Amino acid sequence: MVTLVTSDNEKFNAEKEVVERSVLIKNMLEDVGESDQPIPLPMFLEYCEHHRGEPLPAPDADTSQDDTRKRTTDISEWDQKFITVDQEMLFEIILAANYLDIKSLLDVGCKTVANMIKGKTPEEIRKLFNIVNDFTPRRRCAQIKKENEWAEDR
Amino acid sequence: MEYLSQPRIEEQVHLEPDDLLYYRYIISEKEAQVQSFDDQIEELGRAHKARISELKRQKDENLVEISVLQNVCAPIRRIPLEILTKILEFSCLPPRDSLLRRYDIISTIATVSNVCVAWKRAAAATPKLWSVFCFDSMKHSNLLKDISWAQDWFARSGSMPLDVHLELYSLEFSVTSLLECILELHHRVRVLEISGAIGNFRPLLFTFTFPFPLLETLSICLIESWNVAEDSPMGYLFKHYSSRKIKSFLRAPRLQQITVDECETTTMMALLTLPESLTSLHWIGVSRSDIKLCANALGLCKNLVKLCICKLVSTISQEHVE
Repeated sequence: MVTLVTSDNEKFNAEKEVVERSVLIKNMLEDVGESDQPIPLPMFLEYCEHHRGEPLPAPDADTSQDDTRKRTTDISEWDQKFITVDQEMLFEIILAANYLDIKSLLDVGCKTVANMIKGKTPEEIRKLFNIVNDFTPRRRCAQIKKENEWAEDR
Repeated sequence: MEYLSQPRIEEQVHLEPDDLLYYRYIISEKEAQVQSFDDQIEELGRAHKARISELKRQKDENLVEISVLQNVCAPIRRIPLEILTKILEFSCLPPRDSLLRRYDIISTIATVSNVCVAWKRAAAATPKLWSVFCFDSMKHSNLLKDISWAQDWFARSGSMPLDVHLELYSLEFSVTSLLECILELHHRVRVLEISGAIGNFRPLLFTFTFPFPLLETLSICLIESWNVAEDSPMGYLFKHYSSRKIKSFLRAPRLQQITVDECETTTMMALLTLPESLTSLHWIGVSRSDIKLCANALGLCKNLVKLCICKLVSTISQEHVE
């Protein structure tokens, strides 16, 4: 068993097999060896528990050239439910997954954001994520002209 | 004077000259007052207008500040570039099984690039996004006027292998320029899907002599150049070249998968010289005479382990050669 501690000092006990879905924690455990020292950690146990036993992605999976062709934004039903959270939490999960090096969770988060983007106009995307259009006015004019050009041919 | 207290005047009015004078004086007094009220109303209106426009200005200023602060606080701004890149890849790159030549990757990437400066830079600096090129000449005919954008596109793809999906039906020489621009990158093409009028692909099919060292997958669905009179330059080229064998893919040592869709009367397979490395062939829309015509050519593919033949009519027959 490994003891995990959240930033607000809450302690969780989890099996090694579960927490080792995080490459960061796996490496930490390997580095420190068997120890009673608790590991600080944001909340991710539920995800790792559900995916316990699934094969971990190869370390170079992301850089593989084949990646381009295998890309799909499909998300399993359980993951979909897990990631149905508000935007603030969604990006927290993404950042945590990135920090803890849990590729599958990072992918689920990124796919969720990608699915939110799909089919939207730039203005709709800005509105959705509270992004300001910071292009120069000149560039904005060109942009509108270009957007209309694309639209003409649709 | 008694008239003033009457609610309604029903009889003839009799006024003394002094009364008349007096009434006229009162009228002019009242008119002066009305004018003064009008002036005051107008002045107040002007002052209010100024006040309202000042309030509107302050409101707009606040709205801008709010959006700037929201922009700073937006959760999506907290993610590092490599994650944004990953999100852009997921949102722009086509799913594996889609009909890629119809996938509008140009508009998709244009959309995310037009969100803000950071996204534009992130997209431009992600070679993987630009390593897939899907172009439909009907959908984007306006982009054929000047193909410098395509050169920029491929420049952004860095040195990544390219997946090229082309649907070229419009018969214009600018289409050929686009194809030539792609063929200059023959050494990086990994997937090639071509569809459209055969005349548009003449430089690739009948005159191209360079190798495709990375090409793994080829998909062909071509029709004869319809609407082209035989005496037109394109018609002449088609007639002249189509009798030749297509040998462009013989120098593609990694080419293992070929899909040929016989969507026209010409038997494309009969024109195609298949590479020895071929392991999988998907042949669609095939007639009995096509099979007879190509039996010898297929016999030369010694590494072929999977042959899938779909008949011309909807009935599908599949054969697997081990």
